[in-house]
Amino acid sequence: MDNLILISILSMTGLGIFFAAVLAFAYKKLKVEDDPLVDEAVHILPGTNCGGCGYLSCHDFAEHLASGEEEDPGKCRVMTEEHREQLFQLLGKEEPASYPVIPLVHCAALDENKKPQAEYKGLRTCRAANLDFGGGMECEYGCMGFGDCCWVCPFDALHMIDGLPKVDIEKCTGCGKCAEACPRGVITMQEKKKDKIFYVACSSHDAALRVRKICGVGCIACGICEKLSPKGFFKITDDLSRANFDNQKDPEEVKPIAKKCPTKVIKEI
Amino acid sequence: MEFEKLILILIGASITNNFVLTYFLGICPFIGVSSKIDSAIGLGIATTFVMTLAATVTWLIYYYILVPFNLVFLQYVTFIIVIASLVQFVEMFIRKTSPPLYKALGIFLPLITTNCAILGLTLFMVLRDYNFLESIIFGLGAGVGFTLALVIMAGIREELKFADVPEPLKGAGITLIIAGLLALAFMGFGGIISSG
Repeated sequence: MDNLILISILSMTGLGIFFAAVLAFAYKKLKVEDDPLVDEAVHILPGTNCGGCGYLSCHDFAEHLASGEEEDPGKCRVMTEEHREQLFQLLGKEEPASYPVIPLVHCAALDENKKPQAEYKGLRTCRAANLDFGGGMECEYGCMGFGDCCWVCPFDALHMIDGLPKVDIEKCTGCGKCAEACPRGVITMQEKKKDKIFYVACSSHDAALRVRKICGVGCIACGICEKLSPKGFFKITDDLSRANFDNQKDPEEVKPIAKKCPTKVIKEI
Repeated sequence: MEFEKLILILIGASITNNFVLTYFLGICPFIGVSSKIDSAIGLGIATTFVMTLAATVTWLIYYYILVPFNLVFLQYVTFIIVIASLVQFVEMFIRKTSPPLYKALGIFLPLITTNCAILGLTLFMVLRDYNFLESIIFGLGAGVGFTLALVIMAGIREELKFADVPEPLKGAGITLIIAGLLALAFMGFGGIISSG
Protein backbone atom coordinates (compact mmCIF):
# COMPACT_ATOMS: atom_id res chain seq x y z
CA MET A 1 0.00 0.00 0.00
CA ASP A 2 2.81 2.39 0.97
CA ASN A 3 4.50 1.32 -2.18
CA LEU A 4 1.47 2.31 -4.26
CA ILE A 5 1.35 5.78 -2.76
CA LEU A 6 5.05 6.23 -3.35
CA ILE A 7 4.75 5.10 -6.97
CA SER A 8 1.76 7.39 -7.58
CA ILE A 9 3.59 10.38 -6.14
CA LEU A 10 6.73 9.63 -8.07
CA SER A 11 5.03 9.01 -11.40
CA MET A 12 2.80 12.08 -11.10
CA THR A 13 5.77 14.24 -10.13
CA GLY A 14 7.71 12.82 -13.02
CA LEU A 15 4.92 13.58 -15.47
CA GLY A 16 4.50 17.06 -14.06
CA ILE A 17 8.20 17.81 -14.37
CA PHE A 18 8.28 16.38 -17.87
CA PHE A 19 5.39 18.55 -19.11
CA ALA A 20 6.72 21.59 -17.29
CA ALA A 21 10.04 21.13 -19.03
CA VAL A 22 8.38 20.78 -22.44
CA LEU A 23 6.33 23.91 -21.84
CA ALA A 24 9.30 25.87 -20.54
CA PHE A 25 11.26 24.91 -23.62
CA ALA A 26 8.34 25.83 -25.91
CA TYR A 27 7.93 29.14 -24.07
CA LYS A 28 11.55 30.04 -24.80
CA LYS A 29 11.24 29.07 -28.45
CA LEU A 30 7.84 30.62 -29.10
CA LYS A 31 8.02 33.73 -26.93
CA VAL A 32 6.13 36.72 -28.26
CA GLU A 33 7.40 40.11 -27.21
CA ASP A 34 4.62 42.10 -25.59
CA ASP A 35 4.56 45.81 -26.11
CA PRO A 36 5.85 47.23 -22.79
CA LEU A 37 3.37 50.07 -23.27
CA VAL A 38 0.51 47.60 -22.74
CA ASP A 39 1.82 46.56 -19.33
CA GLU A 40 2.25 50.14 -18.21
CA ALA A 41 -1.20 51.13 -19.42
CA VAL A 42 -2.75 48.14 -17.65
CA HIS A 43 -1.15 49.26 -14.39
CA ILE A 44 -2.69 52.72 -14.74
CA LEU A 45 -6.16 51.53 -15.75
CA PRO A 46 -8.52 50.79 -12.87
CA GLY A 47 -8.75 47.04 -13.51
CA THR A 48 -12.46 46.84 -12.81
CA ASN A 49 -13.10 45.34 -16.28
CA CYS A 50 -16.47 47.12 -16.33
CA GLY A 51 -16.56 47.38 -20.12
CA GLY A 52 -17.59 51.02 -20.07
CA CYS A 53 -14.97 51.83 -22.72
CA GLY A 54 -16.49 49.30 -25.12
CA TYR A 55 -13.70 46.74 -24.84
CA LEU A 56 -13.76 43.33 -23.18
CA SER A 57 -11.41 44.15 -20.35
CA CYS A 58 -8.93 46.74 -19.16
CA HIS A 59 -6.18 44.65 -20.75
CA ASP A 60 -7.99 44.61 -24.08
CA PHE A 61 -8.44 48.38 -23.90
CA ALA A 62 -4.74 48.83 -23.09
CA GLU A 63 -3.77 46.67 -26.07
CA HIS A 64 -5.87 48.73 -28.42
CA LEU A 65 -4.45 51.94 -26.97
CA ALA A 66 -0.88 50.73 -27.36
CA SER A 67 -1.37 49.61 -30.94
CA GLY A 68 -2.97 52.93 -31.83
CA GLU A 69 -6.27 51.38 -32.93
CA GLU A 70 -8.02 53.27 -30.16
CA GLU A 71 -7.15 56.94 -30.12
CA ASP A 72 -9.09 58.20 -27.15
CA PRO A 73 -7.75 57.09 -23.74
CA GLY A 74 -10.53 59.19 -22.21
CA LYS A 75 -13.03 56.45 -23.06
CA CYS A 76 -12.31 54.99 -19.68
CA ARG A 77 -14.66 56.85 -17.40
CA VAL A 78 -13.66 55.05 -14.25
CA MET A 79 -10.12 56.38 -13.83
CA THR A 80 -9.30 58.93 -11.16
CA GLU A 81 -8.05 62.35 -12.30
CA GLU A 82 -4.50 61.47 -11.34
CA HIS A 83 -4.49 58.21 -13.32
CA ARG A 84 -6.10 59.95 -16.24
CA GLU A 85 -3.22 62.41 -16.42
CA GLN A 86 -0.69 59.58 -16.17
CA LEU A 87 -2.34 57.65 -18.99
CA PHE A 88 -2.45 60.63 -21.33
CA GLN A 89 1.19 61.34 -20.49
CA LEU A 90 2.19 57.75 -21.14
CA LEU A 91 0.59 57.79 -24.56
CA GLY A 92 1.92 61.27 -25.31
CA LYS A 93 -1.49 62.81 -25.94
CA GLU A 94 -3.06 66.12 -25.00
CA GLU A 95 -5.71 65.76 -22.35
CA PRO A 96 -8.96 67.44 -23.40
CA ALA A 97 -11.16 69.11 -20.84
CA SER A 98 -13.39 66.47 -19.39
CA TYR A 99 -16.65 66.58 -17.54
CA PRO A 100 -18.25 63.98 -15.35
CA VAL A 101 -20.81 61.81 -17.07
CA ILE A 102 -23.89 60.99 -15.06
CA PRO A 103 -26.96 58.88 -15.66
CA LEU A 104 -30.22 60.79 -15.95
CA VAL A 105 -33.36 58.91 -14.97
CA HIS A 106 -36.12 60.04 -17.32
CA CYS A 107 -39.01 59.12 -15.09
CA ALA A 108 -40.45 60.78 -12.01
CA ALA A 109 -43.17 58.33 -11.05
CA LEU A 110 -42.68 57.05 -7.51
CA ASP A 111 -44.48 53.93 -6.35
CA GLU A 112 -47.57 55.91 -5.41
CA ASN A 113 -47.78 57.49 -8.89
CA LYS A 114 -47.54 54.26 -10.84
CA LYS A 115 -50.99 52.98 -11.84
CA PRO A 116 -51.16 49.21 -12.20
CA GLN A 117 -53.28 47.64 -14.92
CA ALA A 118 -52.73 44.07 -13.79
CA GLU A 119 -50.95 42.11 -11.11
CA TYR A 120 -47.50 40.95 -12.19
CA LYS A 121 -46.28 37.68 -10.78
CA GLY A 122 -43.38 36.93 -13.12
CA LEU A 123 -39.65 37.31 -12.72
CA ARG A 124 -38.77 40.36 -10.67
CA THR A 125 -36.51 41.95 -13.28
CA CYS A 126 -37.19 44.87 -15.61
CA ARG A 127 -36.06 42.86 -18.61
CA ALA A 128 -38.60 40.10 -18.02
CA ALA A 129 -41.35 42.49 -17.00
CA ASN A 130 -40.87 44.60 -20.10
CA LEU A 131 -41.41 41.57 -22.32
CA ASP A 132 -44.54 40.79 -20.35
CA PHE A 133 -46.52 43.96 -21.06
CA GLY A 134 -44.42 46.08 -18.72
CA GLY A 135 -44.99 44.12 -15.54
CA GLY A 136 -48.58 45.24 -15.18
CA MET A 137 -47.76 48.93 -15.20
CA GLU A 138 -50.09 51.19 -17.14
CA CYS A 139 -47.37 53.54 -18.48
CA GLU A 140 -45.43 51.83 -21.24
CA TYR A 141 -42.51 54.26 -21.17
CA GLY A 142 -41.58 54.77 -17.53
CA CYS A 143 -39.44 53.05 -14.94
CA MET A 144 -40.88 49.71 -13.80
CA GLY A 145 -38.83 49.80 -10.64
CA PHE A 146 -37.45 46.25 -10.49
CA GLY A 147 -33.96 47.71 -10.34
CA ASP A 148 -31.98 46.01 -13.12
CA CYS A 149 -29.91 49.18 -13.26
CA CYS A 150 -29.06 48.93 -9.56
CA TRP A 151 -27.72 45.42 -9.61
CA VAL A 152 -25.69 45.81 -12.79
CA CYS A 153 -23.92 48.83 -11.30
CA PRO A 154 -20.34 47.69 -10.53
CA PHE A 155 -19.84 50.63 -8.17
CA ASP A 156 -22.97 50.41 -5.99
CA ALA A 157 -23.97 53.88 -7.09
CA LEU A 158 -27.66 53.26 -7.86
CA HIS A 159 -30.31 52.41 -5.30
CA MET A 160 -34.02 51.82 -5.70
CA ILE A 161 -35.80 54.30 -3.48
CA ASP A 162 -39.61 54.44 -3.55
CA GLY A 163 -39.68 52.81 -6.97
CA LEU A 164 -37.14 55.01 -8.73
CA PRO A 165 -33.38 54.53 -9.08
CA LYS A 166 -31.45 57.15 -7.17
CA VAL A 167 -27.96 57.98 -8.39
CA ASP A 168 -25.19 58.38 -5.84
CA ILE A 169 -23.11 60.97 -7.70
CA GLU A 170 -20.13 60.45 -5.38
CA LYS A 171 -19.86 56.77 -6.30
CA CYS A 172 -20.95 56.99 -9.95
CA THR A 173 -18.14 56.79 -12.47
CA GLY A 174 -20.31 57.18 -15.55
CA CYS A 175 -19.55 53.76 -17.06
CA GLY A 176 -23.02 53.54 -18.57
CA LYS A 177 -23.94 50.00 -17.54
CA CYS A 178 -27.24 51.15 -16.09
CA ALA A 179 -28.27 52.86 -19.32
CA GLU A 180 -27.52 49.63 -21.17
CA ALA A 181 -29.44 47.52 -18.68
CA CYS A 182 -32.66 49.53 -18.81
CA PRO A 183 -34.93 47.76 -21.32
CA ARG A 184 -37.01 50.90 -21.82
CA GLY A 185 -34.13 53.33 -22.24
CA VAL A 186 -35.31 55.41 -19.32
CA ILE A 187 -31.72 56.09 -18.28
CA THR A 188 -29.42 58.09 -20.55
CA MET A 189 -25.84 59.13 -19.97
CA GLN A 190 -25.15 62.86 -20.05
CA GLU A 191 -21.99 64.95 -19.74
CA LYS A 192 -22.49 67.39 -16.92
CA LYS A 193 -20.79 70.53 -18.15
CA LYS A 194 -22.35 72.99 -15.69
CA ASP A 195 -22.74 72.51 -11.97
CA LYS A 196 -26.47 72.30 -12.51
CA ILE A 197 -28.26 70.89 -15.52
CA PHE A 198 -31.99 70.63 -16.07
CA TYR A 199 -33.61 67.60 -17.63
CA VAL A 200 -37.13 66.34 -18.25
CA ALA A 201 -37.76 63.40 -15.95
CA CYS A 202 -40.25 61.63 -18.20
CA SER A 203 -40.05 59.33 -21.20
CA SER A 204 -43.75 59.13 -22.06
CA HIS A 205 -44.88 59.85 -25.59
CA ASP A 206 -48.51 59.52 -24.51
CA ALA A 207 -50.94 62.38 -25.01
CA ALA A 208 -51.57 64.81 -22.16
CA LEU A 209 -54.90 63.35 -21.07
CA ARG A 210 -53.54 59.85 -20.70
CA VAL A 211 -50.39 61.03 -18.90
CA ARG A 212 -52.52 62.92 -16.37
CA LYS A 213 -54.77 59.88 -15.86
CA ILE A 214 -52.15 57.16 -15.43
CA CYS A 215 -49.28 59.06 -13.85
CA GLY A 216 -49.79 62.70 -12.95
CA VAL A 217 -46.10 63.52 -12.73
CA GLY A 218 -45.20 63.08 -16.42
CA CYS A 219 -44.59 65.48 -19.28
CA ILE A 220 -47.88 66.52 -20.83
CA ALA A 221 -46.19 68.38 -23.68
CA CYS A 222 -48.04 71.58 -22.84
CA GLY A 223 -45.28 73.55 -24.53
CA ILE A 224 -44.68 76.08 -21.75
CA CYS A 225 -41.00 75.26 -21.38
CA GLU A 226 -40.44 75.51 -25.12
CA LYS A 227 -42.30 78.80 -25.45
CA LEU A 228 -40.54 80.43 -22.51
CA SER A 229 -37.07 79.56 -23.71
CA PRO A 230 -36.16 81.44 -26.90
CA LYS A 231 -32.62 80.11 -26.60
CA GLY A 232 -33.94 76.58 -27.07
CA PHE A 233 -33.40 75.03 -23.66
CA PHE A 234 -36.23 72.59 -24.29
CA LYS A 235 -37.74 71.12 -27.40
CA ILE A 236 -40.96 69.15 -27.75
CA THR A 237 -41.17 66.26 -30.18
CA ASP A 238 -43.74 63.45 -30.19
CA ASP A 239 -45.59 64.70 -27.10
CA LEU A 240 -42.45 64.80 -25.03
CA SER A 241 -40.19 67.64 -23.99
CA ARG A 242 -36.45 67.03 -24.11
CA ALA A 243 -33.73 69.28 -22.71
CA ASN A 244 -31.09 70.57 -25.08
CA PHE A 245 -28.04 70.55 -22.83
CA ASP A 246 -25.77 72.36 -25.28
CA ASN A 247 -27.98 75.43 -25.07
CA GLN A 248 -28.15 75.45 -21.28
CA LYS A 249 -25.19 77.81 -20.90
CA ASP A 250 -26.36 79.60 -17.74
CA PRO A 251 -28.25 77.55 -15.13
CA GLU A 252 -29.76 80.72 -13.65
CA GLU A 253 -31.58 81.38 -16.92
CA VAL A 254 -33.07 77.92 -17.06
CA LYS A 255 -34.18 77.69 -13.45
CA PRO A 256 -37.24 80.01 -13.60
CA ILE A 257 -38.46 78.20 -16.72
CA ALA A 258 -38.07 74.84 -15.04
CA LYS A 259 -40.14 76.14 -12.13
CA LYS A 260 -43.00 76.98 -14.51
CA CYS A 261 -43.58 73.38 -15.51
CA PRO A 262 -47.17 72.51 -14.45
CA THR A 263 -46.37 68.90 -13.55
CA LYS A 264 -42.97 69.79 -12.05
CA VAL A 265 -41.29 67.23 -14.25
CA ILE A 266 -38.24 69.33 -15.09
CA LYS A 267 -35.64 68.37 -12.52
CA GLU A 268 -32.26 69.80 -11.77
CA ILE A 269 -29.24 67.71 -10.98
CA MET B 1 -9.34 -6.14 -41.80
CA GLU B 2 -7.19 -3.83 -39.73
CA PHE B 3 -7.44 -1.09 -42.34
CA GLU B 4 -11.19 -1.50 -42.57
CA LYS B 5 -11.48 -1.07 -38.81
CA LEU B 6 -9.45 2.14 -38.93
CA ILE B 7 -11.73 3.60 -41.59
CA LEU B 8 -14.75 2.63 -39.52
CA ILE B 9 -13.30 4.33 -36.45
CA LEU B 10 -12.53 7.48 -38.44
CA ILE B 11 -16.01 7.74 -39.93
CA GLY B 12 -17.63 6.66 -36.69
CA ALA B 13 -15.88 9.32 -34.62
CA SER B 14 -16.38 12.10 -37.12
CA ILE B 15 -19.89 11.48 -38.45
CA THR B 16 -22.07 8.79 -36.97
CA ASN B 17 -21.00 9.34 -33.39
CA ASN B 18 -20.06 12.96 -33.80
CA PHE B 19 -18.80 14.24 -30.46
CA VAL B 20 -20.73 17.48 -30.56
CA LEU B 21 -23.97 16.48 -32.21
CA THR B 22 -24.42 12.95 -30.90
CA TYR B 23 -22.65 12.90 -27.54
CA PHE B 24 -23.25 16.63 -26.84
CA LEU B 25 -19.68 17.12 -25.69
CA GLY B 26 -17.92 20.45 -26.22
CA ILE B 27 -21.07 22.51 -26.59
CA CYS B 28 -19.47 25.64 -25.13
CA PRO B 29 -17.09 26.42 -28.03
CA PHE B 30 -19.70 25.00 -30.42
CA ILE B 31 -22.01 27.87 -29.50
CA GLY B 32 -19.30 30.39 -28.64
CA VAL B 33 -16.99 30.32 -31.67
CA SER B 34 -19.47 29.46 -34.40
CA SER B 35 -20.38 32.98 -35.49
CA LYS B 36 -17.72 33.23 -38.20
CA ILE B 37 -16.49 30.48 -40.52
CA ASP B 38 -12.86 31.63 -40.36
CA SER B 39 -12.53 31.42 -36.61
CA ALA B 40 -14.59 28.21 -36.58
CA ILE B 41 -12.08 26.58 -38.92
CA GLY B 42 -9.22 27.94 -36.79
CA LEU B 43 -10.62 26.57 -33.56
CA GLY B 44 -11.54 23.32 -35.32
CA ILE B 45 -7.96 22.80 -36.48
CA ALA B 46 -6.55 23.73 -33.07
CA THR B 47 -8.94 21.31 -31.37
CA THR B 48 -8.20 18.56 -33.89
CA PHE B 49 -4.51 19.03 -33.23
CA VAL B 50 -4.99 18.87 -29.48
CA MET B 51 -7.29 15.84 -29.79
CA THR B 52 -4.92 13.83 -31.98
CA LEU B 53 -1.94 14.65 -29.80
CA ALA B 54 -3.89 14.05 -26.61
CA ALA B 55 -4.99 10.63 -27.85
CA THR B 56 -1.41 9.72 -28.76
CA VAL B 57 0.21 10.93 -25.55
CA THR B 58 -2.47 9.62 -23.22
CA TRP B 59 -2.37 6.20 -24.88
CA LEU B 60 1.38 6.03 -24.31
CA ILE B 61 1.08 7.18 -20.70
CA TYR B 62 -1.87 4.93 -19.97
CA TYR B 63 -0.37 1.73 -21.31
CA TYR B 64 3.30 2.32 -20.39
CA ILE B 65 2.97 4.08 -17.04
CA LEU B 66 -0.49 3.76 -15.53
CA VAL B 67 -1.28 0.11 -16.34
CA PRO B 68 2.13 -1.43 -15.43
CA PHE B 69 2.26 0.44 -12.11
CA ASN B 70 -1.38 -0.23 -11.26
CA LEU B 71 -2.21 3.47 -11.28
CA VAL B 72 -5.32 3.37 -13.45
CA PHE B 73 -7.25 5.24 -10.76
CA LEU B 74 -5.13 8.27 -11.58
CA GLN B 75 -6.27 8.37 -15.20
CA TYR B 76 -8.48 11.46 -14.87
CA VAL B 77 -5.75 13.56 -13.27
CA THR B 78 -3.15 12.36 -15.72
CA PHE B 79 -5.33 12.98 -18.76
CA ILE B 80 -6.17 16.46 -17.60
CA ILE B 81 -2.49 17.27 -17.05
CA VAL B 82 -1.73 16.07 -20.58
CA ILE B 83 -4.59 18.07 -22.12
CA ALA B 84 -3.76 21.23 -20.20
CA SER B 85 -0.12 21.11 -21.21
CA LEU B 86 -1.00 20.48 -24.84
CA VAL B 87 -3.41 23.39 -24.89
CA GLN B 88 -0.78 25.66 -23.39
CA PHE B 89 1.58 24.55 -26.09
CA VAL B 90 -0.95 25.10 -28.88
CA GLU B 91 -1.79 28.51 -27.45
CA MET B 92 1.84 29.61 -27.55
CA PHE B 93 2.24 28.16 -31.02
CA ILE B 94 -0.82 29.95 -32.44
CA ARG B 95 0.12 33.21 -30.74
CA LYS B 96 3.51 33.06 -32.39
CA THR B 97 2.41 31.95 -35.84
CA SER B 98 -0.97 33.62 -36.31
CA PRO B 99 -1.80 36.60 -34.07
CA PRO B 100 -5.09 37.33 -35.92
CA LEU B 101 -6.33 33.80 -35.24
CA TYR B 102 -5.15 34.10 -31.64
CA LYS B 103 -7.23 37.24 -31.30
CA ALA B 104 -10.28 35.78 -33.03
CA LEU B 105 -10.32 32.73 -30.78
CA GLY B 106 -9.82 34.81 -27.64
CA ILE B 107 -10.85 33.08 -24.45
CA PHE B 108 -11.95 29.91 -26.26
CA LEU B 109 -8.39 28.89 -27.01
CA PRO B 110 -7.35 28.32 -23.37
CA LEU B 111 -10.84 26.94 -22.81
CA ILE B 112 -10.00 23.96 -25.05
CA THR B 113 -8.47 22.67 -21.79
CA THR B 114 -11.88 22.34 -20.25
CA ASN B 115 -13.51 21.15 -23.45
CA CYS B 116 -15.11 17.94 -22.29
CA ALA B 117 -14.93 16.52 -25.81
CA ILE B 118 -11.19 16.03 -25.34
CA LEU B 119 -11.37 14.38 -21.94
CA GLY B 120 -14.29 12.36 -23.30
CA LEU B 121 -12.14 11.25 -26.21
CA THR B 122 -9.35 9.98 -24.00
CA LEU B 123 -11.76 8.15 -21.70
CA PHE B 124 -13.63 6.53 -24.62
CA MET B 125 -10.29 5.46 -26.01
CA VAL B 126 -9.47 3.59 -22.82
CA LEU B 127 -12.99 2.22 -22.48
CA ARG B 128 -13.02 0.76 -25.99
CA ASP B 129 -9.53 -0.80 -25.73
CA TYR B 130 -8.19 0.82 -28.87
CA ASN B 131 -4.61 0.05 -29.81
CA PHE B 132 -2.06 2.78 -30.54
CA LEU B 133 -2.86 3.35 -34.20
CA GLU B 134 -6.60 3.16 -33.60
CA SER B 135 -6.31 5.78 -30.85
CA ILE B 136 -4.56 8.23 -33.14
CA ILE B 137 -7.18 7.70 -35.84
CA PHE B 138 -9.94 8.02 -33.24
CA GLY B 139 -8.49 11.36 -32.05
CA LEU B 140 -8.18 12.60 -35.60
CA GLY B 141 -11.73 11.52 -36.44
CA ALA B 142 -13.14 13.18 -33.35
CA GLY B 143 -11.30 16.39 -34.22
CA VAL B 144 -12.56 16.31 -37.80
CA GLY B 145 -16.08 15.71 -36.52
CA PHE B 146 -15.78 18.64 -34.12
CA THR B 147 -14.51 20.88 -36.92
CA LEU B 148 -17.29 19.70 -39.21
CA ALA B 149 -20.00 20.49 -36.67
CA LEU B 150 -18.44 23.87 -35.89
CA VAL B 151 -18.10 24.87 -39.55
CA ILE B 152 -21.63 23.75 -40.48
CA MET B 153 -22.95 25.74 -37.54
CA ALA B 154 -20.89 28.81 -38.46
CA GLY B 155 -22.08 28.60 -42.06
CA ILE B 156 -25.71 28.51 -40.99
CA ARG B 157 -25.21 31.34 -38.53
CA GLU B 158 -23.57 33.54 -41.16
CA GLU B 159 -26.58 33.06 -43.42
CA LEU B 160 -28.84 33.68 -40.46
CA LYS B 161 -27.83 37.35 -40.39
CA PHE B 162 -30.10 37.86 -43.40
CA ALA B 163 -32.99 35.92 -41.94
CA ASP B 164 -35.95 37.49 -40.23
CA VAL B 165 -35.76 35.88 -36.80
CA PRO B 166 -38.59 36.55 -34.36
CA GLU B 167 -37.50 39.04 -31.71
CA PRO B 168 -37.55 36.74 -28.63
CA LEU B 169 -35.51 34.06 -30.43
CA LYS B 170 -32.69 36.34 -31.57
CA GLY B 171 -29.18 35.38 -30.45
CA ALA B 172 -28.87 32.35 -28.21
CA GLY B 173 -32.43 31.10 -28.76
CA ILE B 174 -32.23 30.50 -32.49
CA THR B 175 -28.67 29.16 -32.14
CA LEU B 176 -29.81 26.45 -29.75
CA ILE B 177 -32.74 25.57 -32.00
CA ILE B 178 -30.36 25.19 -34.95
CA ALA B 179 -28.03 23.06 -32.83
CA GLY B 180 -30.98 20.81 -32.03
CA LEU B 181 -31.99 20.52 -35.69
CA LEU B 182 -28.40 19.71 -36.66
CA ALA B 183 -28.28 17.01 -34.01
CA LEU B 184 -31.51 15.56 -35.42
CA ALA B 185 -30.00 15.61 -38.90
CA PHE B 186 -26.90 13.80 -37.67
CA MET B 187 -29.09 11.12 -36.12
CA GLY B 188 -29.81 10.15 -39.70
CA PHE B 189 -26.24 8.83 -39.98
CA GLY B 190 -26.86 6.60 -36.99
CA GLY B 191 -27.67 3.48 -38.98
CA ILE B 192 -24.63 3.51 -41.25
CA ILE B 193 -22.19 1.82 -38.87
CA SER B 194 -23.10 -0.01 -35.72
CA SER B 195 -19.82 0.47 -33.90
CA GLY B 196 -18.07 3.81 -33.56
